[in-house]
Amino acid sequence: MPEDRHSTLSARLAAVAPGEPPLQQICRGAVTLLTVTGAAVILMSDDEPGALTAAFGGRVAELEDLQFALGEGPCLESFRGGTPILEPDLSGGSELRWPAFTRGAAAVGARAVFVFPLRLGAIRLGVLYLFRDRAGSLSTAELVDALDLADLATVTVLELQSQAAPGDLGAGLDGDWMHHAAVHQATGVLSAQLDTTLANALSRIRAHAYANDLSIYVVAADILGGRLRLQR
Amino acid sequence: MTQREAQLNRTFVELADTLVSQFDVDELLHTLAGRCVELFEVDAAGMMLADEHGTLRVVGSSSEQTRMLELFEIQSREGPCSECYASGQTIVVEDLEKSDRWPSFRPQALAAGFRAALAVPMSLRSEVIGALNLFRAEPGVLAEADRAACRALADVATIALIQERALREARLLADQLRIALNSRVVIEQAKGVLAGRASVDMDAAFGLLRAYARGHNLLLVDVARDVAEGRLTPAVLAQDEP
Repeated sequence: MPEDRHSTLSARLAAVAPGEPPLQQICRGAVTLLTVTGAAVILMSDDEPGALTAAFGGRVAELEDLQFALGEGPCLESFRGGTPILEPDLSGGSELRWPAFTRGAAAVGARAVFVFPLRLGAIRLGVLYLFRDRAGSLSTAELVDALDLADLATVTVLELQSQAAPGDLGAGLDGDWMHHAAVHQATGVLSAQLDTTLANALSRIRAHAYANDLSIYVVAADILGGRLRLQR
Repeated sequence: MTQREAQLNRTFVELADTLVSQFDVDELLHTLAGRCVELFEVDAAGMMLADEHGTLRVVGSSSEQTRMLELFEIQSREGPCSECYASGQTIVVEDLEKSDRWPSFRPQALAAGFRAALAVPMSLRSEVIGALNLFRAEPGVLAEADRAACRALADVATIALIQERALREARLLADQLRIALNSRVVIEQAKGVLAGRASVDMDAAFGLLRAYARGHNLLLVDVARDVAEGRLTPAVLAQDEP
């Protein structure tokens, strides 16, 4: 993004959400500047749905949990492919693409999702995740803004990471990490109990949550609390 | 279009190509130095770039002789390139024999067979990253149109270099970010594995990981990965406990 556009956008965001942490400002800015209901910045790595780093509006956190729980959805697809995913109407055939995600998204009230990868050349950091409670495309002007917001989020994430000590995650990039930590712990516990790989264990947790219509966090907490023992 | 204009155009395309294809800094600088000698009435060309501490380094030369001269210029901290870098201005010396500038550099340049020098800054907006040095065996330095063409070539090369620097930095940060994210996941998984196998709680599991890492002078994340992937058993970890 050219520098003047960059600074204009930063000024618009500062006016919308003065004094907020930069990534939070981008999410609130997206909801204010665009016709979307919720926005989130999600950091991802190696194909795993990552942790929500910042979010604003509606039930975007629930929507993101859905992808973490299911291991499928537009964020993963956008991250893997490095391209935006625009789904202006989730009732119009997206169940073929992401069957479980589409059902879950409808339950959360999302009718349209738009995902923009946070990327710089071959570098991929995560996604900017936008959703709306009614169907409809983004206008061209909105698309331009969304792409600029994703660029700004990319620069911001790198800037925050540049302040971190070696091996650490930059301050302000933590987000709801602790939320996810329990799922990773439960994955370890289950892999020990079943004597299987971590990938298998995570699949089992996901499958159990999905089959029983439970949140993946509830299942994780039950495994950690010894209330649930999945059989081999 | 004259043959020279066509040659100049080709050089611009060549330099711009480095922005999109696989980028090789050394290759770019070598190309630029070589093309300057082909395109303009100069006998040698060289480039200096500042490192992160602002110290100039010789990075590309059309000949070994030029490289030696430029190294000498850096050592003696005087000469057209140093002055150009410090001031951000184009430096022109029409005849080194008739000049009284640079008492150490000038005799060296004359001994190397050069009579005239031109140094063009490599800069983008206010940031000067280095300088392009051109030398001639005869007195007199390039007509204004050629100097402008030199500056334009230096500008394109500068943009490519600055872009490459920024990308390299970003790649490094992105790697650190990825490693930090992954190591958190692995550490939590390893805690879970230990808790599941050795019936300890998460804090105790973390304590075991950390004690083993410290005791064996290993990184916590490496120990965690070995535990998570089953290469290191809880029994071994517990045995080790003081």
